[in-house]
Amino acid sequence: MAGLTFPAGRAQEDSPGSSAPPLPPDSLLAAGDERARRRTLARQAELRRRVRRRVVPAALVGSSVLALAAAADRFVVRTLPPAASQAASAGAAGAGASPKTLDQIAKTLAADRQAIAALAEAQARLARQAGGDDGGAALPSLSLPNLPALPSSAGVAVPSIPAPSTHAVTGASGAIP
Amino acid sequence: MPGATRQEQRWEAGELVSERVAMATRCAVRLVPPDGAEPSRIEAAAAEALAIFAEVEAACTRFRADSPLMRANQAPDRWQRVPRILLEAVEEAKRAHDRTGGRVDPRVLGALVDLGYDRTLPFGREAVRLARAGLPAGPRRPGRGGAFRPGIRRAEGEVRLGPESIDLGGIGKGLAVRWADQSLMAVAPDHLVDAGGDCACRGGPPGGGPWLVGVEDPSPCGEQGGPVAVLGLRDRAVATSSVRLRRWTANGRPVHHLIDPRTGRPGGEGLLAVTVVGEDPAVAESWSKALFLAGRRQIGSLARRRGLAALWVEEDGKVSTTGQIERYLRWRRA
Repeated sequence: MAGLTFPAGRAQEDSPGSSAPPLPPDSLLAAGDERARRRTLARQAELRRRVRRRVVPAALVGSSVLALAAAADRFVVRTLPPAASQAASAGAAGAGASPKTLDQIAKTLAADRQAIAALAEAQARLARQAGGDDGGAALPSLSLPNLPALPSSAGVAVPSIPAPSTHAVTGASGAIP
Repeated sequence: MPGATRQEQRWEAGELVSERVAMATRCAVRLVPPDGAEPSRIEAAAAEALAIFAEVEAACTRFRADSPLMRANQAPDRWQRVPRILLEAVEEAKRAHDRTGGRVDPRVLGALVDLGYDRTLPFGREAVRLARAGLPAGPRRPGRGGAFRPGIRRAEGEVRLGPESIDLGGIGKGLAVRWADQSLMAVAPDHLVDAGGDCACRGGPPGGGPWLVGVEDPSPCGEQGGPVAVLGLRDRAVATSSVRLRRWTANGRPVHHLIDPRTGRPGGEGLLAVTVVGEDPAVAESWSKALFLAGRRQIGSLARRRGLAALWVEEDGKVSTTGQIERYLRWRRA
């Protein structure tokens, strides 16, 4: 029998702890098992929370930026003189508008760009906070009126953690029918 | 010779994977060659390890009338000269019987034959339905004469099985994994031996970390859903007793291959599969079977009293564990 040898030493493990002190009562062991099970579930829940903390703030801030941009656009359109507003919405700057109107449009657009820059900075700041371990970052309080409703966190799907690829499978799968 | 099939070898991602079919099982070894090792030496070691499964099958199969086991079974109460493999297997069966308090008993051959499992059946390919006019009205309870106490004369290479014939189905595979594992230690300390899901994991895979072994979902649609858990194992063995595949109906009655020696009938009420992690594959195999036969109501208390690292799946899909297996869990289905 090539390759098959029978070492003098055999498996010593008949039952782990066979020479150990008496085991505690089943109720105590069961409590320990339950704590271990809860630890495993808690670890998995914490992992899902961390994923959620990364996804939800960025989604919320992104939505806020879009909503604020839309609100700012409407604000700009409302505050511009009717002629300028019409010219702005037509997207034909300078076409049929007076120099004074064009100047006003330019100033308004400059202010608009500053507002958008400030919003982008706020988004970046929130994204940095969400990526750390200090828990969920608080959203900035926004006092602009008539903002559209933000999506609730319950609507954000958190991906489940897939099983890692394995080198073997234990079960009946290896049996040849 | 049953199982004497072609062996396949391939190198992939820095390790050698060798496979063959033996013992009605897909047997595989994964070897991580040490630095500077000759590939031919690694390949030869893999071939020798896989050959062990064919040798164990040839000596211990009950599906060939002329195997050493079945020749011994023809006159179990007589001293008979047997191959060393069979002698070692009989002794391991005795140890398994003793360590499990009699829950694992090789004297279930009669009960299996009564239920129709007297030959290889097409499990998995089709639903197996047997009608046997000779099924006894009552179960055949093995071990009516007490504990399993075979006679063993090592120097002469002889055994006396006892008054009843035996089946080594719950012993041979784990034993073969142990021997294959030991045969590889000197050549490739980092390796994984896998015999149909009974595994010995030594060292780790290329790239580091432990070997990752999935625990199969034994429910009827489980293959589509992926594993119920993934274990990370280093210098550990794992074995599973499962009724997902080897089940059939006998005279309209659903049965499976894991016989409870206390009743002579299929045991493990309420359970589909039990997985045990331990240091030795043969010991893990015996405990996986013993825990399965304890049934849903008693498996938890038995596993905890024995300090076993175990995971089991019940018929309703519930997955339970002992605390000792938690350290091996790398992933668990929510």
